[in-house]
Amino acid sequence: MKYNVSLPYPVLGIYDDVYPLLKEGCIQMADPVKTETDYRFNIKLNQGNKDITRLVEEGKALYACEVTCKKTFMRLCFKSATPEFEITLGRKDVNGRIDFQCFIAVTGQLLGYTNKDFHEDYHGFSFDLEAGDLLAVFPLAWWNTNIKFDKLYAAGSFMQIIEAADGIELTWFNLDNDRILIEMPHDLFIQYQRIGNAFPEIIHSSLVHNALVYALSNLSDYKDSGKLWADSLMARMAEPQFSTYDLTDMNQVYRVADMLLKDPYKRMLDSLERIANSQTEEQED
Amino acid sequence: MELQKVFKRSYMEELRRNIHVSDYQGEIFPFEPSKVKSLANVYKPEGLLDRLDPEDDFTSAVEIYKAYSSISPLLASLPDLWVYLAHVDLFSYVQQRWPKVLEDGVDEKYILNHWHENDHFMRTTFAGLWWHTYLTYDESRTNPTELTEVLFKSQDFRTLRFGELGLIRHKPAMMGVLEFLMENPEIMQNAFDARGQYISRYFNLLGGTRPLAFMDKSYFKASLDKVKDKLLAIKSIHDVQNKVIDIE
Repeated sequence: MKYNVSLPYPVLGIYDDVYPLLKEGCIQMADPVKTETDYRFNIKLNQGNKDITRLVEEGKALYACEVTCKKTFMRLCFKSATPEFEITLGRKDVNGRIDFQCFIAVTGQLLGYTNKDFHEDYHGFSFDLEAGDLLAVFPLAWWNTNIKFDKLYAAGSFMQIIEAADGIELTWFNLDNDRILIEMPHDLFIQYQRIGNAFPEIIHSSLVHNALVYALSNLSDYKDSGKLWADSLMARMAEPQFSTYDLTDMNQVYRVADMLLKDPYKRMLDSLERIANSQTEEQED
Repeated sequence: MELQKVFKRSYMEELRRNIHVSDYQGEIFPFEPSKVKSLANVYKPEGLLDRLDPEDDFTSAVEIYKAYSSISPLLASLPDLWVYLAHVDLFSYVQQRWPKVLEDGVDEKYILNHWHENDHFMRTTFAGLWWHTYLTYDESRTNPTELTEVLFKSQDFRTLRFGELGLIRHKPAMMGVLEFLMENPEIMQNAFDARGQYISRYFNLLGGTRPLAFMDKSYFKASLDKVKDKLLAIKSIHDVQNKVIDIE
């Protein structure tokens, strides 16, 4: 569920319905502890709204965490009177993106709900709520079982060069799979296979760089897709060195791609120089 | 017992990208035996093909589920097993279940939809049968597939409406909706495609203002009970399509 709609009553965490807004760090979820059979997640929630906290303390509301894994059709809801969840998921019960949507909801009918911190537009109003109605919504947290965090720096962990289907005449980039697919027409693909891994720097600075630019510039459309490539790039973009970059600006997209591939043009030129030098040496011999 | 085989991933992808209609019109699908691998700890069930009925999805679904009841959701979420079964072990069943494949002029999309991984995973023949049984199987019942049978009464409701919603993944919702239909059989007796569409849209609207995963089974039954008269008043799809649904 996406709680980005305007509900018929004020909810902390949606627009500016309730002040002060939830702060950065209002949901904290570290990478899970991995055992042989399970992933163990710890989630800590933090909100300072006194009226909502009182309702939870009085048992009229609960913290909840809805856990979904689209690929394995999992949809669970954990409820707690405290703002912390320990959630254990079997390794074989999940695949790919797992979403954690936390919220606070009332447990039964609540007549005349008011909150001292309502936005001034709601001052003087009260609301009759039913079980399940929301008091607060926290930002979505997620984790992807298929991201190889130790290999995140290698584009190959989320990108692949493959042969396109019959009839495709031009190379294109396919973002609709878990990996970014660089799809080459048959003849080109055979040629690519013949070359093998002889010139990785050239491939990186051309095919891979172009595909990465294309993917980065479309990342916003895929941020909730759960696709491995999108989650991998979002994990990289969350690193401090990328915090100031805006992917709606193409100039910055190119710079981010350069950074992600660790200056591919320099590596390409170094490689070409090495090739040129070796050719010169051969001629001298 | 023989280990269950599946296609190697790259070969499965190759087949999907290069569908040759004539390959699907013979008695067996021509494939390269060298591009097959065995699954660890999953055994090929004996006699499964004989227990499937191309004219009865419910029977086939329960048989598929029983035959592969021990596989993990992780394995079942991958196309590997389902695609292999459709092409090799259970090829003739899929041909009979989707007989247009034998007609002249059948397009590749038809084959893509029923034999291969596609954008609608639940409509892929065996993935849909297995997952819809898995999601509705309830061991606490004397007959654990009682709710599965309700879901399979309407292909439209199962593959386009309720069975496609995130709601069916929430067990209390699944149980509430299907139990309500089982206890009120008159709703399914007439114009159920249209009534099923109403039910899906109704819960979609409710889910827009309330986290349905927070709610228990009784909420879903009570919600349907509230609109029972409206459901029974639906006589055709024209009573639902392009009509506003009131959730008050």
